[in-house]
Amino acid sequence: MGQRRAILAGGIVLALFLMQIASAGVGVKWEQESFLVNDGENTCLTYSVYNPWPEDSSVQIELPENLKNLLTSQEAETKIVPANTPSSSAIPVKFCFKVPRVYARDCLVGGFICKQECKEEQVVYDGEVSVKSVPGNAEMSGSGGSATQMAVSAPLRLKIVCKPHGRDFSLVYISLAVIAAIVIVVILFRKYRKPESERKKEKLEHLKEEMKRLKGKK
Amino acid sequence: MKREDVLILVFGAILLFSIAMLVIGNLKLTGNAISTVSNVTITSYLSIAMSPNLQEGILFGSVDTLPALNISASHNYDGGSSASTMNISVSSDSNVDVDLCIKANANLQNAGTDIIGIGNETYSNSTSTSSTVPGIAQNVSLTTSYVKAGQNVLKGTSNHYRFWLNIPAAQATGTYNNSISFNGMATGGGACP
Repeated sequence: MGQRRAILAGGIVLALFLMQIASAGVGVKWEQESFLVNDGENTCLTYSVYNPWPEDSSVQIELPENLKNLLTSQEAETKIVPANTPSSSAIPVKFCFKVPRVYARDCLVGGFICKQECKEEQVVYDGEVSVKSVPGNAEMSGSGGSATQMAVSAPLRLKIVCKPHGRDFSLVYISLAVIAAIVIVVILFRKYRKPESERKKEKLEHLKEEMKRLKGKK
Repeated sequence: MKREDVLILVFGAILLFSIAMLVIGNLKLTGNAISTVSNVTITSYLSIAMSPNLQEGILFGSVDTLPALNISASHNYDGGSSASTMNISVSSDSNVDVDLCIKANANLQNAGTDIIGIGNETYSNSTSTSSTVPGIAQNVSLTTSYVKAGQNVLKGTSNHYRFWLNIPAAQATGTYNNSISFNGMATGGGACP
């Protein structure tokens, strides 16, 4: 009986000790630090998050501070990471952003019919992607002081790819095709909207005129 | 041939030409090659957690007499043998050692927008803790940009913190708050984010 009590007390002390030394945590796992991304396109990257600690945690991926103004970030997804999730079972979290146009293009009309020569040096952005632990309640209780929050970060290097290409006339061809198709549809519609008898009558009239013209020539 | 038939012929030709040009423009000629793949993936991972007393916030309690110098945060000395109970642990399920960065979001401010300058809030850190470590003699002021606090914290160990606050003599009454962030990054990864 006494031994059982001692084990129970020891267990409680151990649990209290563990609670004291660690709580909800945040972890990040990454396999790539450099990414090739296309100039002016939407890009999504995936990092994995894990939580080997004894409490569930909510995490959110954020772009590096120095790149927030350059890259248009889409709404960051908040992910609940269950307690005791080891790095081997890390959960992938995707975050997306739009890469700005950084290389010069020569366009004929506004942003259309452009060519790109890619004579500039490759643009590279460096920073740290943060996986932030989202606090359940940011408000502090009691008297004044400082609320605390934490994050882990992984290095990020974005190499912006410039794809050289000649002038792109696709828009012109698409416009031409659309106009031609509209004109053909209108002509066919006008031609076939009348009843067949009326169309034949018109054809007859046309032939009669043709005959008259031919007779006149003779 | 009637005029409308001529028009259909002309615009039909334009339509076909445009479609042909679009198709040609999108065609990409590729060659064939025989190859095999050589592949290696290098993975890094790290995880940190705050102790419950640090997660609760850095609390300085009530102050009746001003000026007040080096007011201790309530968990600075409340551990066994007067150790600090505010720490950040690096999980043993990490494969890199960790540098810890620290910053405050702003000055401490009350509801009436009076402020206590961030330079008055100081901290000290160490990879061990006792009644004297982390020591007040090593304290440095918080800043609003990340700076490295604990460096090269080994996986499976903790970085311990203590915080102090100075309040000037003419400080307006009120409850002052701000927010302090910690960021863990792989050791050797360069400057704080």
